[in-house]
Amino acid sequence: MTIVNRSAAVVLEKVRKQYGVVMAVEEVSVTIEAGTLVTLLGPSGCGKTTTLRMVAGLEMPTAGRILIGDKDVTLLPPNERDVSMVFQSYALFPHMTVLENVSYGLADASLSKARKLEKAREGLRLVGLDGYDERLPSELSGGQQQRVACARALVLEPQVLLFDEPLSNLDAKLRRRMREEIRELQQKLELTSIYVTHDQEEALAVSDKIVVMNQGRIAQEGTPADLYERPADSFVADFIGAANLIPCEILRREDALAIVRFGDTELRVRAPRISGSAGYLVVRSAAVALADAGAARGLTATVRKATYLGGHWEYTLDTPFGSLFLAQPVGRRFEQGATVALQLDPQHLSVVART
Amino acid sequence: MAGSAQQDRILLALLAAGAAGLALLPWYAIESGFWSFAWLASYPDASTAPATLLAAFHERPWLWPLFLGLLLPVPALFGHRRAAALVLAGGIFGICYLFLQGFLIGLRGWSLPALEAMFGPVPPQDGLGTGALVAGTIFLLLIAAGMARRGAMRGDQFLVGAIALVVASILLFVFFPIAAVLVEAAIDAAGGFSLGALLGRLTTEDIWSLGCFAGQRYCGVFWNSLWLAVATGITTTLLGLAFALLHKRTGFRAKGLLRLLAVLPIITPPFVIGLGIILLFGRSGVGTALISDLFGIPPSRWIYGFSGLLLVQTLAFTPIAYLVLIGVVEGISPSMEEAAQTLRADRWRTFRTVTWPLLRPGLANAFLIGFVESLADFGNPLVLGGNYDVLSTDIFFAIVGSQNDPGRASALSIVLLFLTLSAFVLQRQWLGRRSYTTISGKGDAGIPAILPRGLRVLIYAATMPWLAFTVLLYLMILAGGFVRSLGLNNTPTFQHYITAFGIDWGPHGILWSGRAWPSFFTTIELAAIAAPLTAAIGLLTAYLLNRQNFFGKNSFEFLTMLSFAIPGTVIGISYIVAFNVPPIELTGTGLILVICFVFRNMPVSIRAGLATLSQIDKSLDECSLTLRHGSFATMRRVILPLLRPAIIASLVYAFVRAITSVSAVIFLVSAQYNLATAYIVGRVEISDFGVAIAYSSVLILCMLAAIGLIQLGVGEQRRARRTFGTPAALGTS
Ligand SMILES: Nc1ncnc2c1ncn2[C@@H]1O[C@H](COP(=O)(O)OP(=O)(O)O)[C@@H](O)[C@H]1O
Ligand SMILES: [Mg+2]
Repeated sequence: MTIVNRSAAVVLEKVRKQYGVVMAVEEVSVTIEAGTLVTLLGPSGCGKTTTLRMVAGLEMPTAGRILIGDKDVTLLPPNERDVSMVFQSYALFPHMTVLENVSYGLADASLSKARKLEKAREGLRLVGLDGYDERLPSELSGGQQQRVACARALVLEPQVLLFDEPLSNLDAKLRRRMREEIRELQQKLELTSIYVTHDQEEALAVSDKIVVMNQGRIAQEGTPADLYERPADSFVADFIGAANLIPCEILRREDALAIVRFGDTELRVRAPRISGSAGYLVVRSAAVALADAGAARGLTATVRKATYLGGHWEYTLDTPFGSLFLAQPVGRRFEQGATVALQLDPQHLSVVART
Repeated sequence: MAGSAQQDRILLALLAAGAAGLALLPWYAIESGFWSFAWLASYPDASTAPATLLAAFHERPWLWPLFLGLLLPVPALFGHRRAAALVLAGGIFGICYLFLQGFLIGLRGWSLPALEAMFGPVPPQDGLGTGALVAGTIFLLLIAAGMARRGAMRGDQFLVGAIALVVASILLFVFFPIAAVLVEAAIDAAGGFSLGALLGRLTTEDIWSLGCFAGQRYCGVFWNSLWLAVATGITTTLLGLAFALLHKRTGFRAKGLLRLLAVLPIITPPFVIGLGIILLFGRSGVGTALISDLFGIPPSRWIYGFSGLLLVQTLAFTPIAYLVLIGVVEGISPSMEEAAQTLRADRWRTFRTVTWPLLRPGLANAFLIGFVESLADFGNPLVLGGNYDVLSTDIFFAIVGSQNDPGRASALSIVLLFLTLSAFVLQRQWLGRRSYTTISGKGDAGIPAILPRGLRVLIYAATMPWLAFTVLLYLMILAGGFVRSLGLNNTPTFQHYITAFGIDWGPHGILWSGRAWPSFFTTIELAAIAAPLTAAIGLLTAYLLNRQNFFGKNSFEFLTMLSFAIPGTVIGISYIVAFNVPPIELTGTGLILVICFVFRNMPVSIRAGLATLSQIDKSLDECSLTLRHGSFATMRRVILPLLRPAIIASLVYAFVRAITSVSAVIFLVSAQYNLATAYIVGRVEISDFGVAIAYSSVLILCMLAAIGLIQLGVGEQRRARRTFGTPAALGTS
């Protein structure tokens, strides 16, 4: 017996949630294809958890509809929806053993007790915890508790699996490993999953699609590469990959490209959806190479701060158009106070609107 | 909108139960009690018939419309479009009509002459009985079901029903009686209502006279109560602080003794301390004799009055102040004091700028608690008051004695209630939520600042005599039962115990010949019935307050908290006033005692529940909901097991308090249902101290044993199940 895949698509139509005067989620419309993992990403307080809880049925939307596998579940209580959720705090029942925890949701009367236990053990095996049946949650490490929480959600064979910042209570190393395990499991079982995080690296690592949220609205949705390389606005550009934003003037457009000017430099860069004449040039570390001043043509800057981080250098540069923060490979070292030349690679630059 | 299958199933069950209530169960209260089933013999005659038969054959056709309440929701079972509205309408109509007919037609037919003139005479009605109780509950649940169908609480019928039941029972058994007291105080000599009567009663000399300053002997009873309460508040707070500092900030070793001291007031019937003082310092007290021998001071009646009361109440309520303040002292993190010291503050400055401001809200809290406890105290003024009248005892004598003046008792109750509620409101205003955070703040690492030597000496000097005194007092009480008459005739004897708890072997087995047995068994029985009910209602209320959001929750919370502040005497009098006549006629039954126990002790159970629930992560419930369990299943499988410490604390507390309480129940006991404390007070009043002491000692030891056993049991459980600690929070009242 294995965990059966019953994944279904989830559709949120103009969903809104208001608590009194607080607008937690202003309007969210998004479709989550069956079998994919979609991340809700955004800064704290932007409404991610609220959105997720509405899918789970723990909150009622103020307006809008939620469909799971074509069925309108907007008014259904959580226990009548076919979803399960992994909580930030894991929410393991402290008075039940691991096995009792995992079989707790198998309340279906048609299942015999033996089958329930068998199924729960299967879930535990899936997350690599066989043999832990009789432990209490308090006797497990953080990572193990996390796995029990996942197993407990998995064995229900839900149409949708929800994760609310599942890794935020783990240390950095474990976080990396667990996110890979979750992603592997999700891909293996082809589970429809909605995953909430505020950590952009985590989002990039696990998602088929990322929905970036800001102040209760969707800022942009797309694949990780889309968001990284073609941010829709300055918020997304800044939030994902912490880009440097340099104010620039958009002179004219040529197909998908735009000719922009900042200072007295003109560049031809990608600009997928942009109109108007004011923009920000999105400059990430990968788009910049540093060289000794004079050795190469180009913009010059002064090194204000240089920090050695083992794998790379981090530089803060003073330039005529503001300060730049860049990571550069080790090997070439620029002292504090040195003047350097910046070489920009238009391939890796993009432009977003400035409002 | 038509309901789901489950909603329809529940509706059907409700309607069936409601029909049974109207068509099968006796509608009126049965004299001999429902559970005796003696009524089955004459069923169904006019006094035992259900509503249907009464309406059809016993000239009570006004009961027919009750069926409308059950008929209205019927179309909902067949998928009617306006199902929710119909169910709601049925419930509302049913409950309104039930009470309306109950209040309009009473023991003497129509209760308003105008109605009699209009409709002609009707036969009288007794108090509502089991059938009416079932019907009323069903109507209430119909309202809840209707609201759930309209989407209240996400359509969760269990939650809406629970809210409806809790709110209704608190309204019925806490606020309806208080309202009845207000009304009673406004009834004039002719039996009508008049504002004049109310004002007249509220402004009498007896209450407000300041005569004691103008050379007369006595002040008004308001001032007496106020002086005593203020003085007691101050002394208990200071002593409580001294004990708290002794425990936390000195090297005092015998902490077990302090813990015992903290438990004592919970298990000691309130007048027992007064009794002990009489044994010690009464006219023929042991201490009095000693003093008169040594110093030649002649025996006097000084303990009967203000000074005696202050002494006794200080002894009785200091432990409560100590319990409150120990949390406060603990909450003052040593590191804060250390920080102040590293900032070059000397000890005195540290105390003035850091310790004292942190202590202040806690002290205010302790003062108010002592203040309210003193006002509410009934047992001690009863045995020690002498000519010093206070509100709580005056209320009692206004109603039981030759006065028999419920109007005056009600007016005095209003004054007392005004005092305690003011203290309560003041407490909320001053402290708000702040006090909780300081109290519950975990003391972090660091060594508590050592108290200055002078202060240490002062603390020992203040606490040690009291400690010794308390121990002496309890020894006195324990010993007093074994001598003929302590002080007068110290011949050892078991006579008191034999009188009270004698057991003989009769021809038919054991004969409980002791005179205390009937009240002892009644007390244990009623307390055992009341304890689980108290815990259930209290914890359910706590759950609703802590976990659910619903319309009117804030007012509901305020009302439940308000019921903390109602003195027992006021509850007692209000129950008499409210439940003495139909439609709800309960006086003289065991039920009224149980109800009184439940609603008097419920606040503590609410508090214990709230404290524990706030430590249980909400995501546990939510997780259970997403794991296919409804709110009822979640409560049963997740919340209740985790609430176990609070459940046990509530059970113990409710049981013990039911046994030790005097103030409320003394109004409500009857020959058939007499309680231990009322019996003992009766003995004290006729100066039969021997039996009173023997009985009190037995009670104290019984409860000490019960608490010890339960704590032992809980401790074992915890160890066996390893730790997922949710500490029990046993509040004081
Ligand atoms: N129960 C609630 N009552 C009032 N405001 C709330 C409630 N829950 C969330 N909010 C508000 O809604 C906004 C979004 O919250 P949330 O969805 O938890 O954000 P995120 O998970 O993205 O950090 C926040 O401003 C928060 O303060
Ligand atoms: Mg969140």
